[in-house]
Amino acid sequence: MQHDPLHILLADDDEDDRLFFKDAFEEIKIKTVVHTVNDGLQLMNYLNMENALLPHVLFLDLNMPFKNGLECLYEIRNTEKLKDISIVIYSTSASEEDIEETFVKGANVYIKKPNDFLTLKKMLAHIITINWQYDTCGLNKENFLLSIQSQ
Amino acid sequence: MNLRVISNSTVLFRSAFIFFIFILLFISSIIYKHSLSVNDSEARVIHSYRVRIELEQLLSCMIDAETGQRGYIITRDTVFLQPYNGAGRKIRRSFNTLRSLAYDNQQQQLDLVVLYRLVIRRFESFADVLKLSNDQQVLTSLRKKEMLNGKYLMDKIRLQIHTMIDQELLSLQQKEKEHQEEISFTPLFTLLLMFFSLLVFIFLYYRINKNVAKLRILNNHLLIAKKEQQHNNAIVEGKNRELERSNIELASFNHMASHDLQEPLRKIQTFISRIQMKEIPGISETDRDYFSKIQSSANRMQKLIDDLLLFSRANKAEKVFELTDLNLVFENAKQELAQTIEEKNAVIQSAHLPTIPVISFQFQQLFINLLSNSLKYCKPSVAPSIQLTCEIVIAGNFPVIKADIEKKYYQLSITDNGSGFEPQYAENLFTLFYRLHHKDEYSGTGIGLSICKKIVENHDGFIEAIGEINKGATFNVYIPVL
Repeated sequence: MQHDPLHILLADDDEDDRLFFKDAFEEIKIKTVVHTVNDGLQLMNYLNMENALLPHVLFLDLNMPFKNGLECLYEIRNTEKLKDISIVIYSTSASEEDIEETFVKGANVYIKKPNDFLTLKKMLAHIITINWQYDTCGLNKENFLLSIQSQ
Repeated sequence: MNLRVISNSTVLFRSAFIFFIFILLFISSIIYKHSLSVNDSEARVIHSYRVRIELEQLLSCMIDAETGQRGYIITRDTVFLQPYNGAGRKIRRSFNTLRSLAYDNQQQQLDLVVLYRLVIRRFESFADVLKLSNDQQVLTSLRKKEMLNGKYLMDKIRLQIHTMIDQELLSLQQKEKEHQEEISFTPLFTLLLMFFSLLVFIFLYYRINKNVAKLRILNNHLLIAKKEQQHNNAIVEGKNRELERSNIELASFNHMASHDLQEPLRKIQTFISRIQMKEIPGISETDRDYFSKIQSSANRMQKLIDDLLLFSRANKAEKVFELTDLNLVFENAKQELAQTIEEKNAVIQSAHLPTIPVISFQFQQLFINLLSNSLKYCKPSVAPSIQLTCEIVIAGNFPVIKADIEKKYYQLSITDNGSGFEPQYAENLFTLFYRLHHKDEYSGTGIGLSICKKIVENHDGFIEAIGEINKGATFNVYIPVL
């Protein structure tokens, strides 16, 4: 695995956020391939293609047109070939309800979109260096919301 | 109070009912006794009448015998002896009857014995006179003497019989008199009793009527109250629906605030952070300054939104009270503020706290807000020292507690050695957006203490601030002891 680039997919309807995301990964010195889709519908269409290259980690915004993040999460976790994808919720809000609901529906990590670029880079770097195999075994509510002190 | 009157009346009616049963039993027993005594008196009259008749028959029988004997002596015709011969049997029968009549009268029995002896002697005298009359040789003087003796006996018999009759009459009269007294007394007594019962009856009827009227009024009141309650319920239902609607609106506002408002802000912040990170040529020092001002404004906006969200969360309708160890909650609050505590070299001491039912996350927020308040308004040159104490107090000793003076409260006090405040502003501290300092002196949104107040009120408690400028402040939180 170490030599293969890590496949990362972001579903977010906000152009600026997609830009931040891609730029952040460009600045992180880890071999990654980043794809982005613009909404939930595109995401599901992409994932359900016959020969789709499934991402190692999927970053999922909650508030998207056509199909929101929660619906996507539910569908992915209930589709045999997709259900093992690691899913990181990537949202502006960090409300209790959203955190609770996405945790129950089987997301692996919850990130609140940070307010500055440095923190974003730190968070993303942390996420992709997680040993997923180990981490997904014991889902833990305490560690679900990823918090990285800014600066 | 009306109800108590009616329940008292129930006791009254119950005792009246028992009283009436006794009166009825009493009256019927009197009537029974009365009729028995009337029967008695009738029997007594008949008895006495029979005694008298029998005695008079005895006497007339004796007189018949005497008359017959005299007739025989004069005429020597045996026809005259007929009543004399039959007299013995008749007299025996009379005596038998009299004896049975006098079975319960000892005096009469004695009198009868005397009479019997006299009668026996009279018959012996009859027999002697008859023997002397049949014997021609006997001197008429002897017969005369014997006949005189007979007359003497006869007088005695007559006297005895008359005495007995008189006595019988006398005793009858006496008994009748007693009986008369008895039966003339009974109707009067019964009448009085009836009259008294009637009075009680009328009184009870009056009371019952009064109670019925009272009950009717109470019923009417109840009906009105019920209608009012129905009306109120309808109003409450309407209000509830309104509240639900406004809660939903509030939730969507929350969502908007947490999502849509924050998004542009976050982007401003992120873009600026990117500009600041890059060494862009041609940006002057002034521009850099402007950028940092934009950033601090955006950060402040961010803080305001976050605090508003916290405030609205403290407002939330759903309140889940759980038995919580406040020591743990306080530790968590300290953990949250660990960075600031370390930076400011703050010393925080806390007494042992109780385990009570609270909304756990709200209480943590309360501690965080109070602690960060104390940490924020510290004196620049002095390391903050914060004490948390807890004791049980009586409401009456603290005017801020609006409750029964007897009620017990936990008093949680957070005291600091910070800059304090003018005592006249103590009340205002808890007002939303109220601030005692300029923004550039101390950062803050003026929401933190309002959240505290809200949280304490959610727990049916009270909060007060005591302070003096430059001498520190104390925040007292009162939570009811359950």
